[in-house]
Amino acid sequence: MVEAVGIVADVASFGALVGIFAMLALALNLQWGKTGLFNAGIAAFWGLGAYTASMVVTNPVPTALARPGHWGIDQAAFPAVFGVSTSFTVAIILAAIAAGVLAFFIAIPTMRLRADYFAIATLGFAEIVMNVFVKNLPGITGGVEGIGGVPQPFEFGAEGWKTNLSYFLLVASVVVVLFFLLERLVRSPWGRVLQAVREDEDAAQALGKDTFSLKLQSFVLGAGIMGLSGAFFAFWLRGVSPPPNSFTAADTFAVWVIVIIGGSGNNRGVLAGAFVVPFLEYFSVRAKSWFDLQEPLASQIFYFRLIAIGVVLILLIMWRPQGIFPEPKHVAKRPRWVIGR
Amino acid sequence: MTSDGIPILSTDGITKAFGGIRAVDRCSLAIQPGKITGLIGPNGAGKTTLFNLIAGLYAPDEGTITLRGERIDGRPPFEIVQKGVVKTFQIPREFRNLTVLENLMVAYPGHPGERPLSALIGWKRVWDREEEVRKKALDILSLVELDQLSDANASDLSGGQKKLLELARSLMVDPKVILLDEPLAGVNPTLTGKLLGIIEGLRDRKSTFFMIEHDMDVVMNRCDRVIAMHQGRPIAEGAPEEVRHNELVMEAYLGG
Amino acid sequence: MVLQALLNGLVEASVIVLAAMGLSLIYGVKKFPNFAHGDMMTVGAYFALWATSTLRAGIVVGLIASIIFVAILAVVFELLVFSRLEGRGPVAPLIASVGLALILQNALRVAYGTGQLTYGVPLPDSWVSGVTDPLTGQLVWINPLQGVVPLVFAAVVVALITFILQYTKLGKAMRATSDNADLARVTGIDVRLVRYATWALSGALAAAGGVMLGFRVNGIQPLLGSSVLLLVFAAVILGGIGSPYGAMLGALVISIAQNLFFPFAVLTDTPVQFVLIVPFGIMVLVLLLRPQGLAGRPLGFDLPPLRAELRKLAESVSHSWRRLRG
Ligand SMILES: Nc1ncnc2c1ncn2[C@@H]1O[C@H](COP(=O)(O)OP(=O)(O)OP(=O)(O)O)[C@@H](O)[C@H]1O
Ligand SMILES: [Mg+2]
Repeated sequence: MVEAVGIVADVASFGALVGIFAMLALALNLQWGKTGLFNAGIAAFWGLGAYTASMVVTNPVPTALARPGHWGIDQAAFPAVFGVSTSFTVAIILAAIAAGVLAFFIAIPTMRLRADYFAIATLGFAEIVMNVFVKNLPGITGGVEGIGGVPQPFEFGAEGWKTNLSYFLLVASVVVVLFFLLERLVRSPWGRVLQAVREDEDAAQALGKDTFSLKLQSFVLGAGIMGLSGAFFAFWLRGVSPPPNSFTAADTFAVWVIVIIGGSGNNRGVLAGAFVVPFLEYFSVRAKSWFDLQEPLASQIFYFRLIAIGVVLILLIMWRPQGIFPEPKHVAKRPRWVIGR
Repeated sequence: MTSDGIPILSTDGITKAFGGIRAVDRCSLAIQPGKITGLIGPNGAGKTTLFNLIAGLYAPDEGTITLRGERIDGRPPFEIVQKGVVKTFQIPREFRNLTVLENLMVAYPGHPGERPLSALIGWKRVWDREEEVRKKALDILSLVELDQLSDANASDLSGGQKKLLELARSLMVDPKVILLDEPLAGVNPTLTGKLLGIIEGLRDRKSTFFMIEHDMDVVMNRCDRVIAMHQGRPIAEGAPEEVRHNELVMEAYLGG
Repeated sequence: MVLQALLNGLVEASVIVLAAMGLSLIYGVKKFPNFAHGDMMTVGAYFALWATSTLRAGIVVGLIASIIFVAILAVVFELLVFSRLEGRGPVAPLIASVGLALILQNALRVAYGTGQLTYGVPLPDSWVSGVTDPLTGQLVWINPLQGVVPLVFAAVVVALITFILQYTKLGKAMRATSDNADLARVTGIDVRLVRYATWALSGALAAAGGVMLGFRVNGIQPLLGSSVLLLVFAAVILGGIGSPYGAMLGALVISIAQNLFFPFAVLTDTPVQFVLIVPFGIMVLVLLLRPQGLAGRPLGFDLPPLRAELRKLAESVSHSWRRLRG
């Protein structure tokens, strides 16, 4: 019985991480898969969302001699609804907005760059945001320590499996809703014109499309979803810490791996691909006990995980660039329900 | 110059240089409304560049472009299209992975479904509009005889068919001024006649055409006016017969 | 303090320039940004370390061995991966280079752990000499090993590369391929061979840069090269992609600007970690205002005049802001 409960807790926690990466991948699939925007700064949007959410759901901590403090909100300010603090809802929304706003300001100077320049620029912006600002603003972000003691929406105390399971269900339902909303969006005239922009931006412009706005919309919306994912990640991890622990370029490219494996432009494929990265993550954590690994292999397994990601990336781009599930033929399709008369 | 009436579109001293080459060089010309104006000139004369300047794909280094009294130079292309000027590409630029029908539908201007929020909510009026757009696209496709291929991938079309697609797509915009960059090159003779018929029909309904064309028969028999261009600037302008016998023009074509 | 900053900038530039020229060569000939370049530098730094200890030889032998090794490695990359991605635009090789970066960086972590290693070349105190700044009377520190050696070495290498590019058949072929590969091919240049040669040269430069960087910071760790990658990109973009001479200029400007930040930070009480903003800010500005870089030619795409571009930018911002709200 104890063992079964442990497995449930474990699987639920794994599932939640899959869901968190699935959100990231769906967002990148909008930006890259549909619009052709090479976002190499995912870590920044994700991280900003995570930090924002962490600040909203924790009390402020003043900087002390031993620890850098961070901003927060007095949790007494949030009323509870059905026993769950409303701070979580606020946190999630603010996380998405913060990431979206960051994306807006990053996009203004970089949006008109070619794909390769855009990649370098977004990578650089991410580096600045996470490694320069977030890490070096103790008193606001907790500096190199990050923010600890982040709660989860549903806490069951000693019954950890219930906490994990309910959190998994929450994340899963958010992913499902996101999936349907995004599918609806890409199968609309908006999705169609985004694809036109991706395939030939000049031609789209010559036909009167405001390609800058369209790309901006896609980028900001995608980044907002990444921020949303960041909030769920912060709850999942029960805290945030700056690079090199979290929110690194390796995280960014892990999301790329997911999208490339799943098939860019295919939301279903990307959902399937979202299992890969958390699985490697989990495997590298658990392999130690499963296979009774000895040092130094036990600590090296983390690096092997990243090597595996690199190998998969290269092999896929060489042999199957369209991914496991190729992009579906795009048709804007009237959804089953429409609003209005 | 024998200009009659107020021009709908005019350029004044526009210049565009690429590195050392002045592709368009202090070019001033005017287009009369409701006419088909032909633009001729040897290869490399700067005709395509001139079109790109008018359509806003390039900003001129110098000079002004005026549409019905309003300056449009330096405006982004989408605004120029919204003002009623659309251009086709000499080398077709189809959206490869959209179907022929979708290529047309995506060109429809001001589709409310192209705003993310209304697309997400899915207003009924958005999808009703989508139906109208589809009908309009199918009508235009049958006009250029591509209706059989409406569900084919645009990348699967032949070169000539892609030219037709270019023209059809630009018609989706209901333009007032249409800049056609060699619309007939590679289109078979029977269809050429039909296309010119369509163009003339639209002209009679007050559309203005500015058309680059190398086929002298077409230029002589179908254009109302002709402008000849050489080394980035007009060298002759007038009725087709006049321009044809202009010495400078003959020299430009012979001398290269 | 300013003179010190300038000197430090000069020394740093000599390290960056090696990396930047290598990156720029590949960008020019292969038309994609090689995200693995930083990690190729790291491999070079570690290989020199390995070679010195295995061969029980001096660091000079280690440096040469490392240059040869990374050059060969780079050729293998082209053979196995990048030659097969030819003709697929910049994105596919870019992604592959990211994969390669992950592999190299983590293979080094597996092999050497994450600790700091050094070349163990002794740094006697007497080698650090103080010179008086004629303007301020302050002492300026120059460490011959960590300062002068990279500087002299870089000067030699830069001269060598300039010679190769300017006067040898290979160099001319490389420039022609970088300019227009199709045209180069029809004029009888073996473009495939040129690509391999470019990789070899780029790898050699990466190794040299990596070893010098290891010297300069006196510590070799798996993130050695990738930590300066952004700086190197900034230098390359500033100078004009595909223009090795531009890369030199870019490296100089970036490094000096960065080092001038330190006195500024002290004066204004800004955290010194914010220094990364300087090169990156310059890079974004250059990308926006002059994508062909300071020295490079236009990249074959149209470049509207600056004022029109800025106006367009301002308009599209306000316009998109309205669109986003509406
Ligand atoms: N984007 C560009 N970059 C550099 N040079 C260009 C560019 N576009 C055009 N040119 C040059 O400008 C000149 C005019 O070209 P343009 O395409 O306007 O000629 P054209 O009159 O349309 O010729 P054709 O009849 O062959 O289509 C040519 O010398 C061409 O090489
Ligand atoms: Mg032309």
